[in-house]
Amino acid sequence: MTPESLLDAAHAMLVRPAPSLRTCWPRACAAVVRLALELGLQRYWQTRAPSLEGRPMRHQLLALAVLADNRTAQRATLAWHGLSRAMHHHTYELPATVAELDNWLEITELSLQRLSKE
Amino acid sequence: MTTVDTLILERLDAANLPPMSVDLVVGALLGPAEFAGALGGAPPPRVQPATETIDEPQPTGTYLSAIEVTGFRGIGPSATLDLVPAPGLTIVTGRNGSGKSSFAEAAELALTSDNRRWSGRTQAWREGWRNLHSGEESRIRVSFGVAGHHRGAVVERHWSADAGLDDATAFLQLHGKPRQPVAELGWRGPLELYRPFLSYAELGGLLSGRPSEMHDALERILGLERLVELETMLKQARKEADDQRKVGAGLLPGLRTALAEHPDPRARAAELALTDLDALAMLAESGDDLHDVPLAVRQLGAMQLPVLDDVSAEIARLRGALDRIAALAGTPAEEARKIAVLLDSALAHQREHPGTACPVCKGRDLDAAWVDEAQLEYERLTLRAESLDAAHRLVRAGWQWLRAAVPQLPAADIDGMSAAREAWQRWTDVLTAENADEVAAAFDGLHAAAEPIRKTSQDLIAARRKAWQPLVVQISTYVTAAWASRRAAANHTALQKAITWLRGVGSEIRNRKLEPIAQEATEIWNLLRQQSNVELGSVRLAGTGPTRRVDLGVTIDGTAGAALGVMSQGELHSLALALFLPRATADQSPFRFLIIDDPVQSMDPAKVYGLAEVLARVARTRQVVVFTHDDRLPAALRHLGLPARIVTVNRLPKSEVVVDGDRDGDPALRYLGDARAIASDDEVEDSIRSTVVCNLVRDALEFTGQETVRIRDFRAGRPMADTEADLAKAKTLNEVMILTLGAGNGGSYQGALSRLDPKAREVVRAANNGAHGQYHGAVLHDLITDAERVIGKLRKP
Repeated sequence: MTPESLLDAAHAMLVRPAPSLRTCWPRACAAVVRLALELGLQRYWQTRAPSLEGRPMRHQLLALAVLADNRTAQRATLAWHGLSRAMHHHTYELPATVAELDNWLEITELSLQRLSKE
Repeated sequence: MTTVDTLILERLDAANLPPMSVDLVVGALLGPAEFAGALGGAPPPRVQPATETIDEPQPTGTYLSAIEVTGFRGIGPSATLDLVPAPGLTIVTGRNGSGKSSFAEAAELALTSDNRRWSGRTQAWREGWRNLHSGEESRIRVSFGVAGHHRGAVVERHWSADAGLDDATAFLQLHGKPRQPVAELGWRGPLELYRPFLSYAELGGLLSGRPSEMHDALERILGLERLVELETMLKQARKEADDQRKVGAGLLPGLRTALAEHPDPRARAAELALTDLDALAMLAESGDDLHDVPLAVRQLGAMQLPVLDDVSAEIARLRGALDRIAALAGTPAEEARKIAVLLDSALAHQREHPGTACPVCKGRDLDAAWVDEAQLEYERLTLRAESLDAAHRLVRAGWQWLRAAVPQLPAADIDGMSAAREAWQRWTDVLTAENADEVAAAFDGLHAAAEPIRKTSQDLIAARRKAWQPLVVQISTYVTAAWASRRAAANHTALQKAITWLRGVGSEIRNRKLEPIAQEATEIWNLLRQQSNVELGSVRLAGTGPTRRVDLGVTIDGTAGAALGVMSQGELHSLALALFLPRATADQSPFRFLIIDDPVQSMDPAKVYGLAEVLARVARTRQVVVFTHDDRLPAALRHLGLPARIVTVNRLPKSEVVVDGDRDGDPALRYLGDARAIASDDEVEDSIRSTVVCNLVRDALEFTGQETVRIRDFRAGRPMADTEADLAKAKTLNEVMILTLGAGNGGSYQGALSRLDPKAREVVRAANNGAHGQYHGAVLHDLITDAERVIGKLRKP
């Protein structure tokens, strides 16, 4: 499972959600995208700073702001918090819309692309 | 001369307008007197557009430094919301009913004496303003930082225990100065224009209100009322010209009827001259001329009959003479004269041949006795003849006088003429017959018949005179009005062209001036909209008069259309915010603060991120205070790493409201909190940990330094632009710290750091070196603790 394949799966889910997912596909999609982001970061740490691999995301993201470029770190932070919100059930909040998910997906793709180039 | 005037004048030269329209536009630009002159046909002086640009003075910037509220709405005992009087973002969070909105409303009420939440509402809304748990008095006290004033100003509104909402006493006090009325601030206009308060309800109303209101609001900020003023001036003149140009034509039918009905020959002339106003004016002014009345009537009117006494005396003389003639009857004068001649000849004969018999009759001797007799007879006869001659002369003269005394009867065609003619005929007959007995009676008849017709004639003349006079007035009125109407018609055409031109130019100027604001609104919208498929293109002021509106070039998925209708409530709010923010942050506004009450409601989670970015962007140059009831906005700001102070408002029982700094509310402390989290993660490699920690410490120091500089400079009355320029130049941490400590380079800076805190030099050096991976200092946690203490000392004034 690579971040890329996960993102492809998320894309597919957005275009035509599997019937079995019924109404929970937005949360599933958000979970898949967040997993892609986390895997992408993991791959990034493996070459850049192995000790950060598997650390709490807050720490990873704070370190990313210092070790990677600021804009990429900001994007990743934004995407991760947004996705975390979207993948959890909130009693009074409805699942994310296609447009929102699309946006997180795009931001995640962008930041992973930048990270893989470094 | 305003910038709008200059823009108009610049375009006027290239305008394809008739000279009259150009004169009218220039006149209107110069002022009412010149405009009236231009309307009257006097060309105004030619004005050159001002070439140098006029720098509009920057108003004195004002920031909020505290809002203290007692016994008002949700707040019972006194509670204070302290703010940093400088650019930056402050988020005030609190659950519904915590009293946070009471702060926003209090600030608005103190400044504007009104509140949009209540204005236009029923009494029931307005009555609930006083807090149920408050003591005697209610009070709002808003402290301001005013650029250039060391200690700022205070606006206070105070209600006694039983006062109504509008019965407050309010005053303004600049520090160290006596109290003044709030109006002294001169904020009435700017508060309308740049309204630094915006509530959720108001955001909703901004787009759903009447289109003309939004149009006017935008127009006022752009300083474009001048365009409206000019257009109103021209339109008013056009309306007057329109009314005036019809006045002449309106008077014409009446005049025509009056002329047609009028017997005066001048009326005929006037009818022919109706379009020739000069000739008409001449006719009206030609004065009292009676040639329209028939000569005979005029003669009759002027006719003089002899006075009765004169006539009677003349008749008496005539009769006397006639009586003498009658008395001398039987001795006609001729015969007497002939006999006298005969006797005279006989007497001469007798003197030559005395005592001889009469040669004529051969009878009696012509002796002395005969001579005496004949002499006597001769004298008698001569006397008689002379007397008779005299009497005859008298009679002839008498008749002559009588004939001459009575004028001919003029052949006027008026009532009573037949009787007069008879009387005159009789008079003539009597005179012809030289019937002295009838003369007196005939004259009486004459007199009796003449009087009525003379009066009739005179009346007729008077009536004519009287009948013409109103026409003189009517014609003059018409002539004056017709001239004015011709002028007005010409003006109307010129005004029409001027107005059409001004509208075209006006919409160009409007949109040119609007462009920066529109662009900003579009940028803000693009930040806000996030995933919305609604795209905001151009923002244009369109239409005139009642149809004026703001055209929002909104497209949905690339399709233009009646987009406002299909936008969601949240999107409408965001759009309203996009349009509101440029207005409230205009350079000309004295308010460097902005209070936004609950903009997050009905926003999608994603839009909240957009909002956070927008607010942080505005907060670079403005003090932005946002009240919100949930954590979405603070969370978004934290996630985006945007600097914002966050305070929470909590309401304890009995309306006791407390304001606390949020755990993560202070950006500097938040950076240090993050640093602690990383420092504690033993799994992470030391070099990475120290690099991240040092970066965060540096961020915390830089934030604190910049904030300190802003506040200090602002309190010192330094222009904000200068401060910002300094801060922009200070790129490294050392530069920021030098600025913050007000120290010079080198030794004095190091000394200033040491005086601030024994560890300050170490902390700054660690932050500088460690941020680049070269940390060789103490335990990270100690560094963070030292940094926190240094930051606290930096903040102390």
